[in-house]
Amino acid sequence: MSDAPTVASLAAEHGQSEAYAYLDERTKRNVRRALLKALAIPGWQIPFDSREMPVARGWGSGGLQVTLSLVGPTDTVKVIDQGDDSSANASSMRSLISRTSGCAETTVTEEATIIQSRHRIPEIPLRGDQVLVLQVPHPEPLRRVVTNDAVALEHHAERDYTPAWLDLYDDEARHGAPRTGADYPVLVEGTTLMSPSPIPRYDVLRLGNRPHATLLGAGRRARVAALPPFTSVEPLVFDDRPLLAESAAEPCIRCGSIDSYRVQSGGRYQLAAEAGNGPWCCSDVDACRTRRNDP
Amino acid sequence: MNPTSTAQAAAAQSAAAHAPAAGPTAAAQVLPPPPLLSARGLSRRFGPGCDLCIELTGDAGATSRCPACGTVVAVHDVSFDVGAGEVLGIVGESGSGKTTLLSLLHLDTPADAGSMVVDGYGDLLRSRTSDAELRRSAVVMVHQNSLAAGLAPRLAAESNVAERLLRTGCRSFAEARARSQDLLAELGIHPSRHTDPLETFSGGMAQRVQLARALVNPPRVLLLDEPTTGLDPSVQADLLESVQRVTDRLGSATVVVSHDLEVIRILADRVLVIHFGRVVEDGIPEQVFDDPQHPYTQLLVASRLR
Ligand SMILES: Nc1ncnc2c1ncn2[C@@H]1O[C@H](COP(=O)(O)OP(=O)(O)O)[C@@H](O)[C@H]1O
Ligand SMILES: [Mg+2]
Ligand SMILES: [Zn+2]
Repeated sequence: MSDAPTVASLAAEHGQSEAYAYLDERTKRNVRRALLKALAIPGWQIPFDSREMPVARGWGSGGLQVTLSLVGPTDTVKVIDQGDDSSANASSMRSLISRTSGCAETTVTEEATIIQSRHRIPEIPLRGDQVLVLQVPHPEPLRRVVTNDAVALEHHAERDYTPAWLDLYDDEARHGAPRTGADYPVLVEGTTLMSPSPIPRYDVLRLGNRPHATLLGAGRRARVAALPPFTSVEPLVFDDRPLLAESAAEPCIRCGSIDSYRVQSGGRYQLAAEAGNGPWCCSDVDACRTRRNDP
Repeated sequence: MNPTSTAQAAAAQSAAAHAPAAGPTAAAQVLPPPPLLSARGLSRRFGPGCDLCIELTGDAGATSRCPACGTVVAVHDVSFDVGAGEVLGIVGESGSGKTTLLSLLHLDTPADAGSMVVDGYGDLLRSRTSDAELRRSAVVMVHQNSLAAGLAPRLAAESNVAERLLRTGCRSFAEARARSQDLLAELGIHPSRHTDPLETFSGGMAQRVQLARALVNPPRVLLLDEPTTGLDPSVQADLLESVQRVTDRLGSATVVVSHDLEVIRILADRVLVIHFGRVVEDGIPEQVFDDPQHPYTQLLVASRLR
């Protein structure tokens, strides 16, 4: 291990300064320390010194700090916004990361070593040598039911998630289904309640037991959380009320897939909830393209 | 904590406490089941205390406040047993120490002295398990004011009941729902209202929801603090009848306190009269109310008749 390159030594080799990858080495070390703690207690929210970033807080500043604290010149980075590599936000973050770190860019899931994502998990299964970074707006899964942060922390410490169960019961009793669409709370390793970020239920069901690490960064709330490889992640559901993935009315108009996560185009956002009334197509642009090229 | 060993210890402890003279075989054949709740020497005072506190308060000083040091002797040396399905009524005027006594039994305030053995749990006043955990499973209070009871006003009535089941690990929605709705219906809440937010309920209805919530995981000990105060008389009678029916069926040990003799007369199997924090009379309701012995009880009964 002694001759293993560090991010700093690699940076030096490439003629980069201390302030490599936008953040100074100290800040990055602080984020990495928080990530190590987060990996040690899967699903637990770990505070870190969140810095001002050249993106507004709430626009991926947490995910960006996580990515920048890990990235090195030999990495290849992919950034997606709701499955799309080409959104303005995704492209500008991707070029910020590559320009400050000298790493390569890609839109091809298999080529990436780090994938930073807003609100989706790539549908092409990730490998153990890849890292998924999710941007998290609200890391506290109890925030809807326990408004006081200190009280929420007590509930976590006692692993007493009765308020979340009660909220779920009330939704089922009054509306016949959970009101929470995206950002459905999950139980990590059966004990810790975590917000998975506003990914669709389709992705919530694919969070657990993966060969890769998933790192979650919330810049505005200055928290990180992590799922090490092969962590059990289950949605918070009653035994007799399983969580169902969203259903799409039609196959993808581009690739014909019937089991991908599809949204209706023409909406303001590519969220099922705010979709327009255009044709249905895959939300994961790269997976869709792969299916078209290689049927 | 290991519930089995605690249960055995408590059973052994109460058997020993209640059968000092009987041999082991005789005990097995003759003894009635141990009481669910056995309180001994419960005491609580507010203030620094002095050597004269006990001597100068109570009937002797006609006050609960010690004239020497100003300490309030709120509850002094109160003992009683309550069996399964039995209702103990505690009556006394305002300031006599009723709420303080219930707060000792509910582990909200520490007792200065005394013990409180609950069958299966041992002496709760000396337990090392967290108070909150024991209270949830063993001792449940229905508060005078449903706002103070930790209810969620914006959630459905049935959700407020189901919360107790969710807290103890029920993960079947159908089961939680059936048990909550059955109990609400039994307590007189029409099914069409089960999913209405609690904040739309009247005081008497909210009291029924609170009662359903207290009973959906049948507790060993049910504490009722002035259950009908503030309700109009027809609602009172109705609620008392529901309370009686459900406590009969569930077999919890119930302690009900009220300043209202009539409530105690209707509900209680046995009565304690409390005055300046002390028990001044106890017996069955007919005996206590028809032939009161202590001057204070006589006064209470007379003022009720007026
Ligand atoms: N926290 C407290 N601090 C000081 N005195 C108290 C406290 N709680 C109750 N007391 C006093 O103890 C006595 C009994 O009060 P309480 O138990 O509320 O009576 P009740 O419920 O019968 O009206 C009263 O004199 C009251 O002022
Ligand atoms: Mg009172
Ligand atoms: Zn497609």
